[in-house]
Amino acid sequence: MKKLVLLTAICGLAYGNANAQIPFSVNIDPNWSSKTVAMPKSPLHAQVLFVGGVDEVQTTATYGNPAGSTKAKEWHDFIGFIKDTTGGALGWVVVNHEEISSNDKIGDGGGMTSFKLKRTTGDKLEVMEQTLPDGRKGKFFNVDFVNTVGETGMNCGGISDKKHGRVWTAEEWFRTSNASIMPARDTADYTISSTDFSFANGKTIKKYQNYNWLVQVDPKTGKALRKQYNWGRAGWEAGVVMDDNKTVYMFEDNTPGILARFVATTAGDFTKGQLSVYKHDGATSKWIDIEENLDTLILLNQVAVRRGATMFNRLEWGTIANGKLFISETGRSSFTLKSAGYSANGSVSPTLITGYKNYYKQKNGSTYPNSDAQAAQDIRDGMFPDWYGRVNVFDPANNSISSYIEGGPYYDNSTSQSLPVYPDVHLSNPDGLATMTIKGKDYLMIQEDMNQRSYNSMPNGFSYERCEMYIVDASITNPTYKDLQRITASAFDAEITGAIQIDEKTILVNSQHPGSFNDSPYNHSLTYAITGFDGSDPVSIFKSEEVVGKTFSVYPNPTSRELHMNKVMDVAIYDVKGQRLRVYRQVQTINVSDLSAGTYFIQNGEGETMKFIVQ
Amino acid sequence: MKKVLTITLFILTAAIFTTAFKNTGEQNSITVYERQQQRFEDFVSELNNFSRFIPDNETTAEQLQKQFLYVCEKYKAWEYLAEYHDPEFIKNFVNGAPLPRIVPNTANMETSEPNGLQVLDELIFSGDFEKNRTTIQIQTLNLKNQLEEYRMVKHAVYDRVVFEAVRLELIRIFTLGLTGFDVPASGRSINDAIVSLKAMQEDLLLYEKFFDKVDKDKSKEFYSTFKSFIYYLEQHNDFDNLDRLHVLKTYINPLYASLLYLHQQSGVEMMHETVSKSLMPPYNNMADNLFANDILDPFKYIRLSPSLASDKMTDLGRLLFFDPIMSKNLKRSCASCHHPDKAFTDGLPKSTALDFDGTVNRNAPTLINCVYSERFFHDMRATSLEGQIEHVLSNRKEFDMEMLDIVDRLKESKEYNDRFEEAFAKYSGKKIDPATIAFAISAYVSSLRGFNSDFDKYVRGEYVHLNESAKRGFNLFMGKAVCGTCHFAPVFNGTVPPLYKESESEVLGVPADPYAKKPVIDPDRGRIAGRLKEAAPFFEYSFKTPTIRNIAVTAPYMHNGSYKTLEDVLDFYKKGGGVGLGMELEHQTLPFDSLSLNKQEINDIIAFMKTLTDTAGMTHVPQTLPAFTGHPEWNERKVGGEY
Repeated sequence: MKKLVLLTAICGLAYGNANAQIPFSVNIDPNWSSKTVAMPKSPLHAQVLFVGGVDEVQTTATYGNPAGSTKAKEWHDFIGFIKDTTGGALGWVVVNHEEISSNDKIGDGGGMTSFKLKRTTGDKLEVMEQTLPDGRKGKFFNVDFVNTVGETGMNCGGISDKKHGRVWTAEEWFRTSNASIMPARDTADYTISSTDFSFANGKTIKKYQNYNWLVQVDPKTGKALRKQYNWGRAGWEAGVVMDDNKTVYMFEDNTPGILARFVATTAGDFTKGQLSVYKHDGATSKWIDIEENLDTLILLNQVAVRRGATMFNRLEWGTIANGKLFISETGRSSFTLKSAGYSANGSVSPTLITGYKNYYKQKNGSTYPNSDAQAAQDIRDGMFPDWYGRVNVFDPANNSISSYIEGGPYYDNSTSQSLPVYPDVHLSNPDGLATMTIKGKDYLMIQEDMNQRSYNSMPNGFSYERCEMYIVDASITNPTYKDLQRITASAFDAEITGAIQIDEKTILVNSQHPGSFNDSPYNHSLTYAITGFDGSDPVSIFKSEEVVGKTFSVYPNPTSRELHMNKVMDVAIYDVKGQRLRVYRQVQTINVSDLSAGTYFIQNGEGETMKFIVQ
Repeated sequence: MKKVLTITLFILTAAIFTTAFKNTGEQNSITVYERQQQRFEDFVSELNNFSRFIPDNETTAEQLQKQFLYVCEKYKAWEYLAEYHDPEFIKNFVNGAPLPRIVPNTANMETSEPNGLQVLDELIFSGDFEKNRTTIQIQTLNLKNQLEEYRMVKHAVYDRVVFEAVRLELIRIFTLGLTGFDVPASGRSINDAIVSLKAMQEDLLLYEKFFDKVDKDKSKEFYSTFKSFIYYLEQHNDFDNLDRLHVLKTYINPLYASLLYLHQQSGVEMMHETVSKSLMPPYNNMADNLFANDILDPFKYIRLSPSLASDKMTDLGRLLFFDPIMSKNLKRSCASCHHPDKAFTDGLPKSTALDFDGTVNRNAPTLINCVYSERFFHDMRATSLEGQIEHVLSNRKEFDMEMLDIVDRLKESKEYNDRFEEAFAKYSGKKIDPATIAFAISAYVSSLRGFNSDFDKYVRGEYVHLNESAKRGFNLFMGKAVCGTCHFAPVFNGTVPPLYKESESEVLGVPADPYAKKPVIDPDRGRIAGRLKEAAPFFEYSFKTPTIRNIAVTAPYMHNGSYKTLEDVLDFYKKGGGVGLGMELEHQTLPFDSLSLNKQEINDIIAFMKTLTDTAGMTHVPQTLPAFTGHPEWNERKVGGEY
């Protein structure tokens, strides 16, 4: 043993003199370590519920084909949930399919699948067999759009009004001609038949103009109920229904994208009320009312911006936490806000001004010296590459909006010795957003959908993307990236989206369009459940016992399967035989989720070793 | 007690040389980091300098060209680490192909005009300078703005990063640099390679003493080969006549292998120790030769995972491939259009359709090495091999079956049940299922791969004889005839080096009938009609770039099978594609107007392509098919189908 130790030491010395950076020996003595770090089993467990392209959905008679079954569409995006108040089951789930394809049985364009969940023993979930009122029998049901309200182009986000038991689906990709609704077989003019909306009923519009409305669906019957013509047509991604059961906020995924509000005249009846669009710098009111006129509503985005609405850079999802409305703004680079012509009239969102100033400071090392008006002009001129986006917070009490947390890596004070190959926490292009309440405390679930792999969004030298879901305590007023906790990561090249809490124990999450090389079934879009949040208090889910060594200390996060060190450092992991497995440079957090249960060692750059047990 | 002492000793020793590390510092990688920052600044300032010449009326075209070459030199010194750190940024804004592209992850389909050095290269070297002056100015400004924005993005440099980036750059130099891929008009590619090599040499010299300690002989050999490579290129700076085969065998591959060896032996961490396996690129950092059989990881291109794949699954896939049970009329199998004796093509312009209802829409491509692609079908509409299989099954002119109907059929055979049970023992889902059927066929089709042709063996030094005509042909292919700028080595298909992650398609203007008096474009619109999110005008008539491996046995050629011989195909390129034949094609992507190749040169290129035949070990056909006891009439079906 002595010989081995000395040999190791000598090898280390040789490298130390000749080489550049802190070397980690290929082998270490596996018996030597003074402290033990234990990674407990995750308090959470995952269960796959619904796999696109594999599970069968029951279909209605469509396009002259009889009712039957076929494989579900893929590209799972939004998840809607309606609680079963009778207590017989947990409730009904609907999953949006963003996949655009022609399908004889499901219908052309996008799609949506509905199923019913119950909890069985050991906190397992089960998709129940059902018979729907239209006679369809099975576990998964295609939501019928074709025979009810006309096709959707795709189904991305939506509104899950859990409190009042309603679900709407949305389709961000704004259609501008019948050619743009390819591969839809039906391009004949569409006559609206909806007595809910007298201003639209009986009017004939171009087929493509019947796309891009929010659509209310009924998960229990597997049918669409109505296109919400009175909320306007835009590149809607999502919305939120407030507790008053009257107010709805809607978010447009576009550049410029708008924030809109609908206030129903009577609580619970969303067919009558007032639509407005947000203008943060409005002189008398921050809301511009929009009249109930079909021609106006068909082009809501342009009308709104012409009338001076606030312009965002791709709004995505929203959620209510601690009484505030949080809205993700996913960003896009290389944009200007004057090229579209009408955008000259709109106002640049204060959230973009915050993002631009943050970018300016990191780039130039000094605070932006000019006025906000000048910053807005710079943004219009295309000087803000909004690579990473942000999450915003809107206060319904005073109608103000601001940036809550900016995406992106943080380069402050970094030198060549302190740069990681991959920033350990890195929020890129927040997209899906939802609230999780653990023991009465609200957390935001922030889901990424990366716009690029560039600009350090992924580790240097590698070519796939991996989107992550972080949670952050919504009571923190000015969070930084250090307040983010990673809950789950998608399969590679997939987007993680749709997260929704269905009760104290469980959230549902979608992994969308993963790379084909992922292990089965994670190479398909799928819906999975993560259960166990009710385990103990929120803190211990994310932090177990800290072990203090001579030169560093470390605590495991059993949920995110990460080790957190007390400072940024170089660190290596060795297996039980002392064989080197991993080397990390300049990190404070390391992801050990792919280490199977067993004994390992971690060593820092100063040569201190701790035993590391994965349970 | 003894043990305690040892431990104490160890701690003390550790403490001593821990300090030593600190003091000698992380100097090499810091030095490279600082140099790289300086190279970026040099590039930006040379670009600024260049931009001052553009609006000046005194500036002649020659002067501007000269100034532009200075810019390119500064870029090339920055390139090897810049490409390693952020290949997407370089491709999108700095040195990507001069072609419009689709912007990913936008709310609507958006396209972007090309930016960067390659666009400028074309404008400055092949156009009318006066006419292009404004465009040159805008392009230069765009590039400057992108670089200014990029300045804040900082990238780590560690020893590992330097070694890996150098090895990737060696592949880049050979496949994209020396072929002229990234210099569409100026033809400065050898000079570019020299600049890049010198920058790498400068950085690697920091590690000379370190490598000497690892293996003195190897280290000496490595540094002297590096030096000779630069010297060789300086002495042979002639694009049309550079002996690329010599470069590959004498410099690229040996350097590529010895740097891997030195890195491995040094104890510096390797790429696979820094991220999980799934993040690794398809390009295999541990391979020691650009033409090694394991240079690309097939599992990076398919849905099937290596942990699930097995020989039993491959055998099952082969059985399904040759079994007409898959088709509605029980007379056709995958092998109907993909014959093993023709490298899995059928010799027809377009394959016969089901029930002899005419033909399918396009030519049956070879399946050998087809796995190495990001996309499948000539119009690139499928994103995986498994996805591709489904299209064929449901196509009315091919199998005309629903996946679920095939599942029902297969379940009726005990042998199939048993075989699926065995092959998918580790699989958690249903054993006979759309997914497992696709996996099995994918396991078989992806097994049809290999770089063991005469040419591959010659490159690897396993085979001594390659005829002189083929050698000349390879040099033409990779140089003067610019074939290698679309058919990238080593697969010679459209999968782009050095990461081999994305596949390209091209607009060639292939005629409906090349032998007509006045050839007109084939009406097949290609990629524009493939995927909705790719319905961009520049993808009209765009088709996937196929491999040229096994081309000797896969006639007729092109997506519509309209060309009967290789001579005719080369003549088509020589004339400048569809545009050269008189068609109006706004988005043709051939990087040349016409090629000046004589008869001998054409024969040489064909001679080279004919050395790429390799079907060994891939032509095994099952003798019998599983029986269906409940359906005696099904048991009449023939291996491979009736037609």
